[in-house]
Amino acid sequence: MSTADLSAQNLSAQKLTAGKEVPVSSEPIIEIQNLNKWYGQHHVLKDVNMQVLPGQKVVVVGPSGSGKSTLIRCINRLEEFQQGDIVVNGHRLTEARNLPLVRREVGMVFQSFNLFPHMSVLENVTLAPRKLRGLSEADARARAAALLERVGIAEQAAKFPGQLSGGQQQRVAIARALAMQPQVMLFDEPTSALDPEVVGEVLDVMRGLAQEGMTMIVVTHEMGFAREVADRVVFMDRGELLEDLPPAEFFGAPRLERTQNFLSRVLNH
Amino acid sequence: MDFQLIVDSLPFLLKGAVLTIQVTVIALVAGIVLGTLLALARLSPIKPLSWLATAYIELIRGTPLLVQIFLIYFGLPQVTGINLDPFPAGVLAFSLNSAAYVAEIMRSGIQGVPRGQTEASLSLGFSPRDTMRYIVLPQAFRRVLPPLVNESLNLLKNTSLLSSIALVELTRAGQIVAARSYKPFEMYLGIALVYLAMTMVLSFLSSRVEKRWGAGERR
Repeated sequence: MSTADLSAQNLSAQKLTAGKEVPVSSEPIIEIQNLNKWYGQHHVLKDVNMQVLPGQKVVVVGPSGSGKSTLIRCINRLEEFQQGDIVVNGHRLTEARNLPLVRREVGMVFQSFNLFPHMSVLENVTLAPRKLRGLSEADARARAAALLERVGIAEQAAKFPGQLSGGQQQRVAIARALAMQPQVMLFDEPTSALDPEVVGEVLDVMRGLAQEGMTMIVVTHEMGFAREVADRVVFMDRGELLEDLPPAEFFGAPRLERTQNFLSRVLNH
Repeated sequence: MDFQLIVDSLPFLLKGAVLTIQVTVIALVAGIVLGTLLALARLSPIKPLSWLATAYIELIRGTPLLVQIFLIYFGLPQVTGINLDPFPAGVLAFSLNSAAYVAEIMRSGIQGVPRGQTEASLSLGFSPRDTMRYIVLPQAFRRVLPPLVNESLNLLKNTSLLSSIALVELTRAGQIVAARSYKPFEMYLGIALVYLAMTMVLSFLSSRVEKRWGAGERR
């Protein structure tokens, strides 16, 4: 609780000093309560608690196998969990009928893009708004065109995913998720499968999204991005959420030895 | 050698070939529809449904097609009192048979679509059913095209078994001419060539479709 309050204050301070005011409601849009998950005997999430306020950017870091991907995959229940609850925008995930509702409001971007290979870029971006939001073909196309423009690949709309580079595919994937006009975006290691030279173009799109005030939870190994964009950095290790700090504190003065060890490994290579 | 016989009897043979094509096309369409439903049933989390589908598939694949044809043509009237003509009996037998084979082909196709596709679709808010319909099945169909073509070639050739229930399809037509003319070699060679012509057309068409479907999907 205290860390969430602290970071909320920190956030509003940041926004004011930056000269643009983003309305920050004090009601969390995501609330994770005592979350526990097991794979058989293996306890992969241990009593995780976390709150995210609207407009916040939370970057989740930690060694591989720490449970950070599993955690964000629980937020739209692509992963089942055995104990605890997650409330998204007032909807409890443990009530099955809320699930489609929540998923429409929570966009997700995957490490391996997962674009639909049998559809053109345009169809990838228009399918869900047409079928799930009831947009007409023309409206869906207009929305898709604007989004593809925004992620810098308007001229590729007629191509198929297999004809694009990894960086382009991931930008289409971001556009596809945004086309549902979600309130929250989840990024599950969005740049880990990319060639180094195209990582920047995807991070740029994410930065832009952050500046527009999108609520974001990002699992990543990009420490530069975390330092620059995050309101809070969350550190996970062996299924536990160990730190939840503003980036300056997290990188400058981490409290725990495990965090220090992790940071020295990822920052000094 | 009397190859003039083949030429002379060609109109009669082609009439038989039309029946062969009719049985093949109807049974193939029915087989694909039923087979897809069977595959979905077999993959269903509802266990009894899955068991039922598995039992049906094993039953069909484990028994000879000719016996299945006889069961429907000769056996069905005895227990139900319904007499089927050779044509509907043949279509029914081949539809039920090809459904089982198509089901196994479709199952492997569905399972071959990467899990990430389903996850991406669910994450957008699609229900499991719509995910199957818009995302998984269209990709599965593309993947199974080669084995499906193989199944249709088998289906086409196996319709020759219907000569045994007096349906005058291509093989039966050939038998009739062969018996009348005492020239079985020329006659059976002739019908073999007609089968070959039909299977070549099918192979050609399928390679065209495969190219068109594959065009956008290069990875």
